[in-house]
Amino acid sequence: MGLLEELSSKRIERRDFLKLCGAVTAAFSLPLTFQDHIASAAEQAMAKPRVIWLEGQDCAGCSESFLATMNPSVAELVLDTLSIRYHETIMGASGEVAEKALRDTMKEGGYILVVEGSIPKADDRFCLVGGKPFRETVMEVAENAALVIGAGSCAMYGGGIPGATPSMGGGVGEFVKNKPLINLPSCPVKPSRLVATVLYYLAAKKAPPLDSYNRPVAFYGSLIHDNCPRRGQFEKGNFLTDWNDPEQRGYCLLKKGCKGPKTYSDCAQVWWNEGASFCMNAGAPCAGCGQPEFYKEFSPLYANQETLGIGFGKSVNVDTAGAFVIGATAAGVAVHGIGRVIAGKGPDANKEDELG
Amino acid sequence: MSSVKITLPRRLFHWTNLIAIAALAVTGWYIHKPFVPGSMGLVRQIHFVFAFVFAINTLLRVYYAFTPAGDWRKYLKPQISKERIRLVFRHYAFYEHLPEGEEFRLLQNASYLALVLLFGVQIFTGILMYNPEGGVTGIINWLGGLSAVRQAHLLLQWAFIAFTIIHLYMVVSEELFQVKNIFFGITSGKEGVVNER
Amino acid sequence: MAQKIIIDPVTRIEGHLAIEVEVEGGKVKNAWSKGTMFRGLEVLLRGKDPREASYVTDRVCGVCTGSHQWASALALDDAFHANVPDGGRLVRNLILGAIWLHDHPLHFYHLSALDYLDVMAVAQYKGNDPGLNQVKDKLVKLVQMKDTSPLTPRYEPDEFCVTDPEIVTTAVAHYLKALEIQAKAKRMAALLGGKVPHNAAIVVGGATVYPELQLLAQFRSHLQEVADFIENIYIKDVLLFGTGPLLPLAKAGVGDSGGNYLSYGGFANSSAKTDLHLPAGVIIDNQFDKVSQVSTNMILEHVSHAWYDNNSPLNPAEGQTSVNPNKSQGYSYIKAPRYDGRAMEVGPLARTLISKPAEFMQLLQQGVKPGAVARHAARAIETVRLAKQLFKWLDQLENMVALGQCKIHDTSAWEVPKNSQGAGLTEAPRGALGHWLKIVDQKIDNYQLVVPSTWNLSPRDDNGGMGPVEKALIGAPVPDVSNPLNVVRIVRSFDPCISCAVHIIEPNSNKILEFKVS
Repeated sequence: MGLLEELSSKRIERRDFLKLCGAVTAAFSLPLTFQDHIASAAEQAMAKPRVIWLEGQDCAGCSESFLATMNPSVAELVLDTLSIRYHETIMGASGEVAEKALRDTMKEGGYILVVEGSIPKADDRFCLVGGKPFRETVMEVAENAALVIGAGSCAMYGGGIPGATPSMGGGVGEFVKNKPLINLPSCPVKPSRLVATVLYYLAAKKAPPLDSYNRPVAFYGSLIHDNCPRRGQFEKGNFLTDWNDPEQRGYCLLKKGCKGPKTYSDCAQVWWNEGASFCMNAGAPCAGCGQPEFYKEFSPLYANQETLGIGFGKSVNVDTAGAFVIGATAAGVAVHGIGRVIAGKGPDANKEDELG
Repeated sequence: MSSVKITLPRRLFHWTNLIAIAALAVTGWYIHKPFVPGSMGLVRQIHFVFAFVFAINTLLRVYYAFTPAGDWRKYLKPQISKERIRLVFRHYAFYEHLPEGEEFRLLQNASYLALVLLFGVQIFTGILMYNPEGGVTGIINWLGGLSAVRQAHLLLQWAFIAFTIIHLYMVVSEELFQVKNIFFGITSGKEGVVNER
Repeated sequence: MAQKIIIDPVTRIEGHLAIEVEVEGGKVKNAWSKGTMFRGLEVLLRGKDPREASYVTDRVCGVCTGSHQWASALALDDAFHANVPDGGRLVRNLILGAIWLHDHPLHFYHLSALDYLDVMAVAQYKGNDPGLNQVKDKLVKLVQMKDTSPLTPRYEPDEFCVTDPEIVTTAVAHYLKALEIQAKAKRMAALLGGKVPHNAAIVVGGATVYPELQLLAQFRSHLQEVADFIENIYIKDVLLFGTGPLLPLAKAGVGDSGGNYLSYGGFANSSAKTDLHLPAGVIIDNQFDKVSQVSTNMILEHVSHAWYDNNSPLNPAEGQTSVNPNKSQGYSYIKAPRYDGRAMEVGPLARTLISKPAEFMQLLQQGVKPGAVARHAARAIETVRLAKQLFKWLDQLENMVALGQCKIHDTSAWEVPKNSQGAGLTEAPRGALGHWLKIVDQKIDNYQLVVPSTWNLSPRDDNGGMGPVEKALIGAPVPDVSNPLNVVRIVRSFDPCISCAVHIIEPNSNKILEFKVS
């Protein structure tokens, strides 16, 4: 059976592992000598770090994205590389067994906690898991975690899309303090980042260099815009307005609302789904899904506009605000001018008076 | 009518400001919303060039204010009194007579001071966007991200346009005779009443 | 004395869905389906640019990803009066089709199969197939390391479980292979969609991605591999299981949801709205021969038992979302949609009963009745048919591109109309999916969606009528309350796209046992 022969080679070989570590060192720009260090450290940690994966106000998209990994394969990751003790979507275990695994792992401590989805700030009851507020579960599990990873935009500060709903979702970092925290925002989480971050952590025993949003600089250090294959068209002032026009096929998507100029991400260099593509390559404007401004301040997504929070959870387009300011100013000036005429004090008259 | 001849440096500052701000407004609007097909790269380069001209001009103007011939006092040490505030208020609200003299230009000078401070903010947000990577990302994130910085930059531009409208109205309605002065140093009428410090 | 045992500290029971059942005399007597998560995406959309509805609503579900985007784009097409060109339609079909090919096998192997086989039988494998022995070694090693996740056995296997070591070992091998295939299918969708989950290429008016020939060639090579797995492994496994020890369950129709089925139809074959790969239709009271047309104004959403402010049943086009978690009568965040007053099952079984492919009718003739097992069979059969159809769409698109006649977007319909409304009805892997929106002053005034799980997992309606899953659970044999395998099988057969929790209450002892369904 060809299939099974193929399967038989599915052990993660040292060679494959080194290859994977190579990808990590490249991503974090580590010197090559560090590669051996990573391999042995992760191997020692044997090599199965414990992972607890919790889902809050989520769509399971980040789990699905994690399962989209192909190199290493999902089977390698799930069975050989990581020890996933608790994950609602991929674990086959039943409640009792699963719960015991969760409790035991919590007692052992030193695990990596991955949080997918946001935590409602408006009312605990908007996300009950087992009759219990999800917020409490996260706090408890985080207690003995060695590292907390906020996977995806919902788990990032601001809570992504749920953050803009009446439930007011918040990221895990808004609740769990005093724990090493790494945010890996994007909608969904980008699997290459998640895997590399975990392996880096195992090898270096600390988080990679992070920016002020706790995002690894290696993935979020440069603007998409600066690495976009369409950047040349931006410079030339060629902006796509019709997706059918063969002429415009590679044009810049700014007029379709692209948020690339404001978004720090490696999407343009490291494509999604094992190098299949990424949004702008598929002709779609960047929605800025890895930025804290997503989604509230980046809406409208398909129009090139800026919005401005004006309090009370409302926001207004900056150009609208600007037009209002100009309108009010012009109106004020006009009223003042008319008043002056009615008062019978033109500029010259005024000045003559003064002199007189 | 009365005016003192406006000094050459101040006229140059004003000229430079006028040209730079106009150019920045037009190119900035293009970058925000490319209204015609064209060359974004070129437009951005022009914006940057005028941005530097504007920034240096603003710095020099501030420096000039503190030279012996400078005018910092009227902005930073205005001679405020209740009576003057009352007069200024009644002048603008009811078109009442306002005596000549720098000490009565409270509102005008305050608005210029605010303008210069806002210029500083605009220059700062501009620099952040000019090269958003590297050392300044921390500041950008602290300010709420590149998006917030852009919005601030854009919003201030609207404020400057509003200022320009008021500025023009005030000139036309109150000091039309000063127009030739600020541009060309040509005065008309008597001299010597305005207290130019 | 009544004794209350809660297995599992107060915590968890993951799940945004909870199923609670009362067991008496070895059978389920009463059941409640509870949605326990509220995000309020419908509320969020009010006042927004309508064009981004497709982007935002896709985030409703990351498993049947793309489906909401599709339904939303269809609703927007309707509201914007857009004529999606054939190229755009085919690109949408290919992206969604690839996602379906990922979704259905994933559900069978990774979310369900472990309910149907005794994984530990692998250890008994005595054969000498090197591949199968490799699987055995691997599993045994995992057991020794006390780290069998995610294969950890669920409940004690019962008499319906497959225990033949060779079959089980092969199934585990397929489980591993399927992990790879589902990732490949996602990659296939991402070639056109930009990324998956949550592809970026479907927007109102069509698609944003121009399907270059070299892109389609890659798509084809992935499709061949995935289709090969589906036709030669997936469907065979399903039929092997269904006609093995499970046959008594299949013939007894355990998990029958009450005989009402609904499909909106999906995957347009041409620009004619009725020319669909998956036909639309309604079946009432098990009258399989009488498939009537769908009339959306028969759909009313009841909220008397949901945590929303009370109002009379409303059509989704006029629906309201005013959340109220304080309502004592409520027990779910899921509304209760009813078609002509009836709870309708949606999903593969409904679609297959309506389209009646020969393969499935044959099973019915062999005595299989609609229920949990039939649901799995229907799912596999429609996957095979869809895979075949994808090749046809791919050929059509390739021809179009080769001739330089491929239009992907109706750009004239990109600007937002001042006032309008639209409905987008389609099929998601889990069933009938409908989006409704109303545009006032170029902004979304109201947005409502009725998702498949809302139909299947709905709570009781205003008349006290149960939802389909609730009904399907009644009478399910549960000989041992600590081992409620059949409850789990039934709930899972609907493929609830979110993990859910099962609470079992045994009235006599008042024992509360909590189990997880993931």
